[in-house]
Amino acid sequence: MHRSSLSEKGMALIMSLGAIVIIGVLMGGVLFVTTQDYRIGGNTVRSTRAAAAAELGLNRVLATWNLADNARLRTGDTLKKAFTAPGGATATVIVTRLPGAFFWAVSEGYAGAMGSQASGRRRYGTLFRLDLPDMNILGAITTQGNTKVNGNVSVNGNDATPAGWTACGPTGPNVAGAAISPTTTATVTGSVTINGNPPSLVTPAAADSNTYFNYGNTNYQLLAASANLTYPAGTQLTNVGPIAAGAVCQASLNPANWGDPNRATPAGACESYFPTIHVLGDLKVSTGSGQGLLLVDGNVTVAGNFAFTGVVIARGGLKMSGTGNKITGAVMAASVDVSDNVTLTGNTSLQYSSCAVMSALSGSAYPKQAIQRAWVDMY
Amino acid sequence: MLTMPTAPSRRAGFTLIELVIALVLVSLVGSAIVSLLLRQQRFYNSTNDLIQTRQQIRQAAAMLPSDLRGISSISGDIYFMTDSALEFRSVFGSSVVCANIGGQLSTAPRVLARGSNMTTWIRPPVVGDSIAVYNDGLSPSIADDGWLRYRITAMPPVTTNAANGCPTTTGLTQAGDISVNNPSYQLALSPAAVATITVGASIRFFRRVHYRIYQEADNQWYLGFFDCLFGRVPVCNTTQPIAGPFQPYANDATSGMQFAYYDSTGAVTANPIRVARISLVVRGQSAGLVNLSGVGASVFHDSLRIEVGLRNRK
Repeated sequence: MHRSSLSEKGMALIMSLGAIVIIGVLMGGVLFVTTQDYRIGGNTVRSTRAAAAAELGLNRVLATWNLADNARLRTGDTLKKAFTAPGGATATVIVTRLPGAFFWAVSEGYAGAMGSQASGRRRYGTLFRLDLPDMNILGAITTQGNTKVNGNVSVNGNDATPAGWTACGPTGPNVAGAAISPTTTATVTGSVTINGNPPSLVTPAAADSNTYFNYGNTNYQLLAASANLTYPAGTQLTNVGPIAAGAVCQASLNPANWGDPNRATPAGACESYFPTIHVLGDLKVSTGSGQGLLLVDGNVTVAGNFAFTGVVIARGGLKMSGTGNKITGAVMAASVDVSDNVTLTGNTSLQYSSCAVMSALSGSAYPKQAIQRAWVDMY
Repeated sequence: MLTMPTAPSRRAGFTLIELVIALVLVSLVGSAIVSLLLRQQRFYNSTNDLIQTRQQIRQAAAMLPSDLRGISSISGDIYFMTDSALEFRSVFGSSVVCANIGGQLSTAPRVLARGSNMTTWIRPPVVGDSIAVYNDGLSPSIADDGWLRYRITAMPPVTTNAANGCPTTTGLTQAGDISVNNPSYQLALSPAAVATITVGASIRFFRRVHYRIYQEADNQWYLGFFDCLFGRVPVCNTTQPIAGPFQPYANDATSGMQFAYYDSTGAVTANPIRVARISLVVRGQSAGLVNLSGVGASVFHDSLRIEVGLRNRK
């Protein structure tokens, strides 16, 4: 018997389908909002991870700092470093050299697939500055020992840029040619030229041991402890000069590599090497050249044809004799013993240079975050 | 011819009993569907409310730390601080001095060919905004360094390689870096910048801002924000809601937004200069009743705690 299909008409199917559609729409809506919430949560995680990576970049750039960059980077030069952070995040840091002792570092943290929507990016910037010793340099030479100057000697406290050092800024204020203690005697004979502002300064500061050994946040002992090169007492060195393997400057105790104060084109490998040199007693050096910070626990004897650019600090006295001796920068002889005298004879030149001083001090200084407002969110 | 008698046609239909059974079944199924629909609707609305609440909390938690991290408490950036409000100098940009001519400071352009990014800001500074400039001091050490504050009185763009802009002689820019679209700005300041501010000194642009929890006209509590600009009328604009609604303010652990301030030892401090960490608790509540389980509707509450270490407190 055939039944008409009309008898199967009803509302149940339609209602069911309608309900399914409505439920589907609602479920879709719920799925949509929960997906959105999940994505927002994911974005928050990636943003946080990127921010952490950016912070990591700023910290790691200090931890991996190369002292040679202090002198190598010129104003405006940039240095790019990349670091990997936990969770697959990365940090790219661009360090820009600013004038003086300053560096501007921008760290960009990135988390998630590069370039995709599922990624987070944050940028932080920090101003770094080299924490330089605050030395009270009173003259081209500062001493509290008795001083004898004889021969063809030039002592000049007028600020001058070392020959060929084109990266130096304008010269600074002039200092005294010789700053000496009121309790000591100075004997000058021969063809001696002393210039400066004033040429000779008698000051109690030259009799103060703080002048020689305390430098603001740091002191002689701390600088000596961070020396790149340490020599025993009684060291005698000759033919000091730069040692390079290709384009790489080689640190060397003996034969001594104290950097390269000569500036050439193209630049020599050791031009940006400013070592801190510590001698645990007396030092005698002749022939050659060097640059940096020379700390001598005893007396310094320069015996001819030796040129040094930077800062020399001796706990004892200073004796320069022979021909072709030149110290560009500043010399301080504390003369801790009464017998520690300063004797300048022969063909000798002491030239004050603020640029040489700054370069020498910068060469051994690590950057640190500048005070108060160094850090900035760059979004 | 034989003919077969045809059966009388039978009309399809329902008996009364069938109809009653069908109606009962349809009503049962219908009520079940309607119930399901209502539950779905309620679940959807509740989920939406819940997500909205969390989103508002997240929004507050995302916005505030960005602004708070850059506070230099040691420099006096915090004007006042309570458990419900915080007013401080908000840094919105940074740059580098390219020239100091007669006390007017020129900025580096925003885009540099060498890839470094010395100038950046969320929005361009305007006249009336303030800057802090790094002063290196006379000694080579960090001991005598500091930041000097000035107010911008004019900031004309310099679009060429001129001495009063950011010339290539500074070493900070290269030929072609400065253009009409990428200018340096010469900032006229009040007072004039001191002569010891040299090329390369860092600049921070900042404005006084205020965050607080407050009650809007709709009786809901929101995170409100306003800023102050010298020379504007009024100097400080009205509070605008930026996230919420949150739980009402209360002087206890139920407040919709609660600031707490700690020094470097972790102790609570009321001294703005000693603040090293700011703790922020945001407690949100749904705008309507939430009924996810179907058991009973109630206002949904959620909270988020954020600890922000100040980066510029030394």
